[in-house]
Amino acid sequence: MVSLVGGLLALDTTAVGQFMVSRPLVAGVIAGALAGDAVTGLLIGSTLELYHLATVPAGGARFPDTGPATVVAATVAVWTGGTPGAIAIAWSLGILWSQVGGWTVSLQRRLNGLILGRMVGEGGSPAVLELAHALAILSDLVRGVLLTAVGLLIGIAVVPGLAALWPLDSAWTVGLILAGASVPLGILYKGFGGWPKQRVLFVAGLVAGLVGAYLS
Amino acid sequence: MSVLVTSACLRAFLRTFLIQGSWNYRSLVGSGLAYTLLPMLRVKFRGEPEHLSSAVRRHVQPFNTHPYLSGIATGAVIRLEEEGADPQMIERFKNGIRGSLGSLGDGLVWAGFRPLVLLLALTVGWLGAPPYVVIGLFLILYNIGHLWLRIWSFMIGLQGGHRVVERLRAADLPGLTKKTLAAGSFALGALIGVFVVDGRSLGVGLWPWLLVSVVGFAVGHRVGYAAWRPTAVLTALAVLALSILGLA
Repeated sequence: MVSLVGGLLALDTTAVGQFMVSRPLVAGVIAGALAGDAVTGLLIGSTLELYHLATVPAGGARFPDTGPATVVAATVAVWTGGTPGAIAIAWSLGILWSQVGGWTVSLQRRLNGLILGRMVGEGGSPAVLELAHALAILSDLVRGVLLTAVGLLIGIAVVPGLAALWPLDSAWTVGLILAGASVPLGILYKGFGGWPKQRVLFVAGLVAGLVGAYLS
Repeated sequence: MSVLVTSACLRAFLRTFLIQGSWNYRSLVGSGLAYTLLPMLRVKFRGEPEHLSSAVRRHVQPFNTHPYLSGIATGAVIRLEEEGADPQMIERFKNGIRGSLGSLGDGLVWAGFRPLVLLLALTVGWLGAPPYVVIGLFLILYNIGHLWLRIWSFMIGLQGGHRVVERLRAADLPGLTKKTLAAGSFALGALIGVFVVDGRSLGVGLWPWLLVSVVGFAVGHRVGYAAWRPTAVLTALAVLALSILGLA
């Protein structure tokens, strides 16, 4: 069931729709809710999202596959008890697994080229084109399901043991992850135009955020 | 337009949601574009299988576009095929727009609109909103923009044909991108402000992480995207190492 959800979210990334249900923020809550704790899912999803905000899937560049990786991370974090250690180790697995997912996407795209080259080739048959297109989508679903299933197996095997050794409390754990996320957020700010072009609005937002959080 | 053509256009539009289904390094979304055009090509070349196959062969050639703006290409090519335009002219048209559709969409959606809406949702979430409110807010706001862009793209492509470039220019997407990036800067500042005050993230008791974050933000801003993968992987490995070593 969880693997199928991972597969469906993998489809959303590129092949079908791009409604962004595959974003870590959304996938984390969905997977967390399925595992029994949407709040832990939100924490995993939002911290993974901070790292992936700056990635742009432009052209043929390899990009992390976030949907299945977030499903793995959120599910394992909840299954392992949602402790600071479980969250930290599952989050790490989510980051690393999104890289593995990106590599499988590259393989998938090569496979698509082979399928289309063989099936459509010089013939130009409309029915064959539709069949090849459907096969490519189906194989992406299978890729996502397998990616999620293998990730869950690794997570279940590795996370509980490492989580038990985790030395930091909840606040310091989140602080560590956010400190790492500051680099991707700096990259994102540069993409928005950075300090030379966007300093006024950035500072205005910063003040608004400080005041808003203080008052809330 | 006849009922048959209208129905084919509607099916072609719905197929734009699958245009990247067979994304590959040979033709990029070329095969996907041919797939979206098929309903219309079948109407146009009904009873002429040779011409239909020839049209499919022409359209599976390499093509690229942002998925949300793919309707511009789909709609315009449908119009050109319907008008019986010269295949070489259609090919020249496709070659002319493919670069700009990719770069316009990447800038407006991937680099601007998507992070902006995500930042808003993250800020709301970090302020304590329930999980379903956070993702509901994101999905509704984002997909209003997403679906509007898809419908608008398809309509101007269909109406404009080979003159769609003029319509695209008049729409001033680069100007809209600039506004989105500016709004994103505000939203990013707001989220960071929440992190600094909020006791669960980088609040007063966690000042060492706050100092590290200031340096990290400056490094990311200075180095740019080249720093992304090393940072993500190294942070993940550092967390694993911290646990293995049992450092307090």
